[in-house]
Amino acid sequence: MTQAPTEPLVEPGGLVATEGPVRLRILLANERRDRLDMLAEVIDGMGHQVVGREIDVEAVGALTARMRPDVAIVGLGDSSQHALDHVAAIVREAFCPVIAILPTHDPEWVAEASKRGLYAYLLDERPAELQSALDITLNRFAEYQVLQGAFDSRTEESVRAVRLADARKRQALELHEQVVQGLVVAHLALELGREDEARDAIVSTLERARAMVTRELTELRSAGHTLDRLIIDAAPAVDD
Amino acid sequence: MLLPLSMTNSTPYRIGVLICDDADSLRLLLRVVVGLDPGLHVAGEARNGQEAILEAARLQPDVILLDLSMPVLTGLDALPAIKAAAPGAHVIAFTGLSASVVEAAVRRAGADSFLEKGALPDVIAEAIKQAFAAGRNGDGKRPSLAGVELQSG
Repeated sequence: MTQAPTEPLVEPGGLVATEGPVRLRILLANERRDRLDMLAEVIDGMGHQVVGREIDVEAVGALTARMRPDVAIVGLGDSSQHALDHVAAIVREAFCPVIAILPTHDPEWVAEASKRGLYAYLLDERPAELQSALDITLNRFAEYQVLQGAFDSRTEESVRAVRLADARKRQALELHEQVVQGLVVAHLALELGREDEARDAIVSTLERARAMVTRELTELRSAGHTLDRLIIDAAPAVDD
Repeated sequence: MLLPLSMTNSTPYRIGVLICDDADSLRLLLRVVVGLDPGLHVAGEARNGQEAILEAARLQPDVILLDLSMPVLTGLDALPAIKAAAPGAHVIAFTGLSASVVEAAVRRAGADSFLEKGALPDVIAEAIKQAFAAGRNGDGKRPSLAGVELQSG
C-alpha cells in the first residue's frame, strides 16, 4: 500500500508534490453512500487526498471543473447502456481522467466505455481485491502523471532553449548592424576625405561592439559557462 | 506626361532626395554625397520610419533613400505608408543587410530599388539618378515637386 506522504506542497489543480510518493487529489462519486465512505477511507489510507465526495454521479463533470482533482473515481450501479451514457457524459465534461467502479465484470461494456474515453475501471465484487486494484491503478496513474509532468517540464525547457537561441540570434544581428553601420560610415567618410569622421566612426563602433560582447559574455557566465570555454568559442573557426 | 514647370524649360532640374537613417553620422555623410552632385539636392531627412512617412508626405521628394533598420518604426514596416504618402517618389532600400537576404522582402513591401550600404559616393549618387530616371520613364510615374531648379552660375 502507498505510504502516507507529508503535507501537500502545491495548490489544488495539479499533482500534489511531496518529498515521498506522489499524492493524488481524488474526487469520488457514488450513488451508494456506504460505498462512497468506504472508498474514501481506503483512498485516505493509501495516502491520497479525497478532495470531494458526491452521491449524484451526474454532477461529476461540473464538480471536476470546480475541484480540479487529478482523477475522478465514479461508482456505477450497473453496466447498462444508461451507465455507458453516463460515462460518456462524465468523460466529456470532466477536467480529469475518469476511473469507473463496476459491480460486475462485463468485457463488452468495458470495451464500449473505453471507446467513450474511460481511463480505467475497477470491480468492487470483493472489497479486499478492490483495495489492491485501486492501489495498483492509482499508483500507475501517479507514475503516468509524474512522467507527464517530466515531459511537460522538458517541453518547457525546450521552449526556453528556443527562446534563448532566438535572443542570441537577435543579439548577433544587433551586433552585426552596429558594426556594419560603423564601417559604412567610416568607409564613406574616408571616400569623402573626412578622416576624422572615419576615425570617430571606427572608435565608437569598437566601443559599442565591445559593450555588446561584454554584456553577452556576462550573461553567458552568469548562466554557468566558463570563461575558458567562452574564449574557445569566440575564437575564429579554422578553415580546412 | 505632366511635368513640373522646371522641367518644361531648359533649366536643369535637381532631384530632391529624402534621406532616412537613424545614424546622425551617416545622414551627414549622405548629405555630403548628395550635395556634391549638381543634379541632386537634399529635400529633407528622417531619423525613423514614422518621420519618413511624415516627411515623404510633406516634401513629396523624387527619391527616398530609406534605411531598413530604424527605431520607432523600421523602414520595412514604413514602406507601404511611405509609398502611399508619396506615390511619385522612388524608394531605394538602403541597408547593411545583404541583398540576397532582404531584397525580395523590401520589393514586396514596395521598394523600387535596392542599394547595399558600403557603396561608394558616386555609386550612391548614380543610383539616385537612375532611380529618378526609372520613375520618369519606366512606369509612368511623374517626378515630384521636390526637385528644384539648378541655380545658374
